[in-house]
Amino acid sequence: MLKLPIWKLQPGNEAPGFDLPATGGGAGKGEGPGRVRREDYRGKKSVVLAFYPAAFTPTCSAQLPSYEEDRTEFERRGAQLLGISTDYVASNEAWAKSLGGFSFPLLSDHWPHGHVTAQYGVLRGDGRAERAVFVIDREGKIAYVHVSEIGKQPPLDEILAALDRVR
Amino acid sequence: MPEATALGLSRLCIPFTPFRGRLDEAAVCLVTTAGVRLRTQPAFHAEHELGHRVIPGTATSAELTVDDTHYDHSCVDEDRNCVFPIDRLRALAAAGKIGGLTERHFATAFTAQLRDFAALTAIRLAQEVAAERPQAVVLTGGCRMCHRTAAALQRAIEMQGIPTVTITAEPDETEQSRVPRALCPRGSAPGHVLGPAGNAELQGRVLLDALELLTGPPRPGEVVFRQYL
Repeated sequence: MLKLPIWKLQPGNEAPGFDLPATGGGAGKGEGPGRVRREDYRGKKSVVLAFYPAAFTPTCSAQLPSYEEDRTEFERRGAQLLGISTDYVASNEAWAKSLGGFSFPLLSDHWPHGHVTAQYGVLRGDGRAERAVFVIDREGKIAYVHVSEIGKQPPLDEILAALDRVR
Repeated sequence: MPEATALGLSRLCIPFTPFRGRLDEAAVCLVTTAGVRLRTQPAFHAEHELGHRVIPGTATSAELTVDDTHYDHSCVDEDRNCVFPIDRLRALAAAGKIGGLTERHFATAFTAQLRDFAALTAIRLAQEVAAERPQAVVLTGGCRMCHRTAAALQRAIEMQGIPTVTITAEPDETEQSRVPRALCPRGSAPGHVLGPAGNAELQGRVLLDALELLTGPPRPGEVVFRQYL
């Protein structure tokens, strides 16, 4: 159970667990839906958990394809990218398909609405997620947090630097 | 899927080719991802395009049209120089500010498939641009996503040993993409990055300022902001 106030999540804290419905491992590529758990990666891979406000919106539609463009940067650092929003799985799948598909899954924190997003302290009052990135190390500890202005992308160079620190 | 670039260059690296010589002797090439083409050429696909069109250096903006549905067209429909300043480039040549225009200029259009664009279109198009032997290349984008593809092209062209500069209306996207040189006119917006339709004086000034970044101190990765209005 998280003991700190949610807005105090910071590097060094245990990352809140999650077990969420998701697109297939490659979102938008027609794979059947699945589930993704934080525990799937413990001891195996660091995780980049990228919260985004909503599918089919302009900044998100540039942010996620940019991660696909740069996916080699994440792969060479042994990191697993996970997109997460409060959208339905089907919405995320259709959106990803419209963008040519991704090589990583999109998690749906739709019900209980925004439960995981709130645990990370990034649920907005309108029910959407902030645009926020958490880097979680292999032991399940938060290594980096960045909450962006809603229309701005998180800084990729800082995310990669955080991954380099936990590699 | 193919590798992101032919050289597998990390996003953390910024390709940089120094500009040598003089602007008033340089042949300049225009490259855009804003969906500009000759009216006589086949239309671009509005939602996913990995091909390109060649625009002759003799073309005037009146001979051009735009296929894109992702940015406000009100300015560019009136004046193509808002995103593809071919008339303004010709005016700079006539005024002796640049050496001239290359014979061919290049345009591509919207895609969200950035990895395929970087791996296929950008590499192929950079080679075509290099075949023109320009001393400098000016790039523009249309919508937000087109600024990402413009950056991929800019990096690929710079890796061919050709100095480049982009004029951006999406400085956040351009900065994240890590390009060698970029100018952002403050207050510019997708669809009229060089200024409002018909304002030839302003468009020429923005274009020349962008070109002069080539001769200034190196600032790779930085977006230079200028106030015009």
